[in-house]
Amino acid sequence: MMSISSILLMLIGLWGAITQKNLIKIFISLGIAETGVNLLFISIADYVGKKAPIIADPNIVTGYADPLPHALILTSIVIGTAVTALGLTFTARYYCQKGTLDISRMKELKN
Amino acid sequence: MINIFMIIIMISMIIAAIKAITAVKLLDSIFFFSFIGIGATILFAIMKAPDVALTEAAVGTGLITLVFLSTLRKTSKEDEHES
Amino acid sequence: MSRKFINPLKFIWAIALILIFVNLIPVFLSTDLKAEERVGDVLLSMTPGNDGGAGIPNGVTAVVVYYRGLDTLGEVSVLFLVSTAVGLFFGREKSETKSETKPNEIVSHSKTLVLPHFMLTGLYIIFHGHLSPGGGFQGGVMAAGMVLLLLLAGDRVKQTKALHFIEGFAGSLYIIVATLGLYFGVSFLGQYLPLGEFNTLLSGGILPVIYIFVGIKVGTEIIGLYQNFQNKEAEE
Repeated sequence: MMSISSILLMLIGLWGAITQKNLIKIFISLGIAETGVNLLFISIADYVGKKAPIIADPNIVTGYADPLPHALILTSIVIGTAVTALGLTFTARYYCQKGTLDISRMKELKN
Repeated sequence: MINIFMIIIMISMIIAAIKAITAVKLLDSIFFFSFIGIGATILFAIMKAPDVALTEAAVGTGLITLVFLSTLRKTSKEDEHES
Repeated sequence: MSRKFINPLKFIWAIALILIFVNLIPVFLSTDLKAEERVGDVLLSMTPGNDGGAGIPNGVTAVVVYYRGLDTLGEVSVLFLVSTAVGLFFGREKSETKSETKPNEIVSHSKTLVLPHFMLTGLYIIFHGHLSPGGGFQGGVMAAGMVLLLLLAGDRVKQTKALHFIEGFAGSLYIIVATLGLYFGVSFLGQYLPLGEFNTLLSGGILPVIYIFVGIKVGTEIIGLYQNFQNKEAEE
């Protein structure tokens, strides 16, 4: 159930990234898609009936959730934030140069 | 019980995603996106991933909203009517 | 700018995505995935430090800092690159004449009340990153929230050279601490300090040291990034 909903959230983000014309809204759509992927990875990490991966007794190491997807998503969130910040920097600089955010009006590379 | 709670949060997140993409004003769009981050934080905490929940709460909900709002302030000088 | 025709590429995209979605459903609903042995189980069995493990309770920190330490080094490098690029693109921007909006009264009056709690929470999360949920990234961003609140309250925090020096110094110490493992006879990012008693603050060898450096570096980078986003006329 959670995984299907996460894929749906990712598809909604992709739909927004394809159809929208404002640059800020495109980055918001990419952020939504990234959140969906993160939820998908955490939801397949077998959490039902398990404990969080913080070991209380060093002799008992079973019954905890899988820590590997958690570490991957920890990296993914920080990198996604950095990429979004860089993209918004380019967006603001483009607005300072041209005065628009509409991607259908970007005709600089169209001969 | 906890499954019903998760399903409610997930459905509200999907509705917020659609609203964030189809909203007319960019400010509404940014705050719907922030709501998606909060919902993802709660879901991460329920799904036994407290480290990821802390990261999402600090980075994905707090910092990214500030960056989006700063960019919106930089890029909306005279044409607020542009969607 | 009215469209003459509907782009057929849009329908191809939609059909392809729906087909992918329908094909992926049985993969995630099947229970075969849970029966196989996962890498995470092996990592968890090595985490308490019985035989060459990390020696800390938090499994996620063990994976992030110890088993996948090179990934964290690359992640910190990416953050440094983004911070530098944002400074490069916003740094020489002159002051645009924009009406300065006054900060909120509540923010400017309650900032001295809230600031120590931000700092204390961030430092607690950084220093207990190997015992409880949290670590360098989360605590660094929370401690950087202190300076972000000052910026929101209208104070001019000078972009001093000390901030850049601390950032580069913490990054250099990360690499130096990791390289000292070669000198002591283990691998790069290897464990050469004594492990100590399990589940106490002074345990885990080099892992808390590295996470403290990561926290300092991430915090200063976040401060510099947001400062570059906000500065209008803050030339030094």
